[in-house]
Amino acid sequence: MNCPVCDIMDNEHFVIYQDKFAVAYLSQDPAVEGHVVIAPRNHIPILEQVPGEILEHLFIIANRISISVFELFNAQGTNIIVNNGIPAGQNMPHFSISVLPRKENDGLNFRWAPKQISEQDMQGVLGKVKDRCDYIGHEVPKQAPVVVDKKEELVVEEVDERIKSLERIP
Amino acid sequence: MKHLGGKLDFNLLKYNNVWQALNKYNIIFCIMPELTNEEKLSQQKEQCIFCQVISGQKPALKVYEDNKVVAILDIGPANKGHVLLMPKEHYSIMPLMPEDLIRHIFKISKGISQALLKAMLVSGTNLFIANGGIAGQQIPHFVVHIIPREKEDGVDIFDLRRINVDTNVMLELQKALQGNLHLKLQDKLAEQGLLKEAEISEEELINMIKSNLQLRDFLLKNIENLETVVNANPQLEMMFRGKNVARIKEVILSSGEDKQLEAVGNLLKGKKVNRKEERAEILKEIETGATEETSEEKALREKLSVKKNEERVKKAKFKKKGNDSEEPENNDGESKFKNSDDASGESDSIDEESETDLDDIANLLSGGNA
Repeated sequence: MNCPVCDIMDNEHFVIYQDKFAVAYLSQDPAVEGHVVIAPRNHIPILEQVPGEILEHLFIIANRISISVFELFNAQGTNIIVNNGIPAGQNMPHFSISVLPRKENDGLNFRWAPKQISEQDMQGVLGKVKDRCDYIGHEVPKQAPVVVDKKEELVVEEVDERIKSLERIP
Repeated sequence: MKHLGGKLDFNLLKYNNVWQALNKYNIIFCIMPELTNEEKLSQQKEQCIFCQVISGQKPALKVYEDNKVVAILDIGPANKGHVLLMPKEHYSIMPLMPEDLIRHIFKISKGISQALLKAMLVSGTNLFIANGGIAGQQIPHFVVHIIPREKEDGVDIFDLRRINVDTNVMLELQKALQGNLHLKLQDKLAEQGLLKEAEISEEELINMIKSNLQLRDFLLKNIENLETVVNANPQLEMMFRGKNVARIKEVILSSGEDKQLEAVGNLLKGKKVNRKEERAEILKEIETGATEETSEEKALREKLSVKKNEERVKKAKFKKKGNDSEEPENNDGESKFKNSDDASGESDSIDEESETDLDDIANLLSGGNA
């Protein structure tokens, strides 16, 4: 498979930092002057597939690079952006983090017009998202808790029968 | 205050707030000292909407909470299911946050992104962070925006445009960033053992192996299968990466057979003039250093010998006196004989004394006086 990010790593095109897990390079299609891309060394397509430790490492590097570009370009701010998935604007099949130094009137604008969503819809979204977020840091249980209740009932019945039989013998 | 009334400019709307206006006239200065950084931070915290949400003063739609972070639904979302993930502690921008917290936040943001993919039945998410008002930060409390994305949902602000940057400019940027990041990320490189080894040249490596006897012996033991040993050890692998292993092997072997000097000589012949000059300089330094040391030693020796001579003379005098007092008015001939014996045996006794400490000599002297 042809991956432009892997190609850049092999050819070391405009690479500014690399270690065993991560590579940072100047973007070939920059949105602003000083647009830096940070990517894992292994070919990993999306955020959800990046192992936790490597993801943390990548963002620590992104933070240090944002400080670096802030100082070097006399920027007034920085943006850190992850486009994860094709509908989110990801144009390479390799997970990456973009760091952009920002200045006044640089032509970029990341302000959105707030979407009007009814309160009912918001409550629906809240319920759905909250249910999924409860599993963060835990594995999603495969069996429903109802099964456990059934077992308990069965045990209770067995005990009852034994007691009855014991009562009958004498 | 009354007598100042006439002088005051009452058009306070000109100033941003009353304090600024009053400060202008130095009225409150003596009562209200200027705010320290800590006080400014606490003031910022009091006014921070997210801090109010976290403390429960303001209602919010919380979707996740643990001891370090809170995630809520954005009230003015870019898309349906837009989540804001923020630390409970007030940090205005990402560079001010401790790295442990950064690690935790992005661990959780991965989980939330995953949760959004499943809950909102979408196939993409945007993570968005703004540091500073110009970057689009609206509230001075660090926050990660996690936005679910669908095809043709009309949220195209994160689709990055492309501009043309001159390759020469790019090369300059690369140089500047490389240097800066090498310093900024030194600890990460060191953690992975990439810091020093990456810079070592072949000659430096050979010199290192020679000077480090443990390493040399280890490599000598495994000289036959050097390549496999090196590949098995990540540190050695980093050191030997891109080096001529066969040549290093030869050098190690020759140094192992106590032919170090020859090897150094051969190396020096093949090296640049600079190395020769360096070598010569080092040799000079060593020589001059050695002569200096010997001259110092000589001076010390001379001093010591002078002292010894003085002591010799004194000793001899005391001995003579003692002999005189111990054997008063005996046969003159015998005493003369003994004195002569002492004189002849002096050299032996002094040799023994020269080995004793200076303190002992002092004691002996004081005893002689008593």
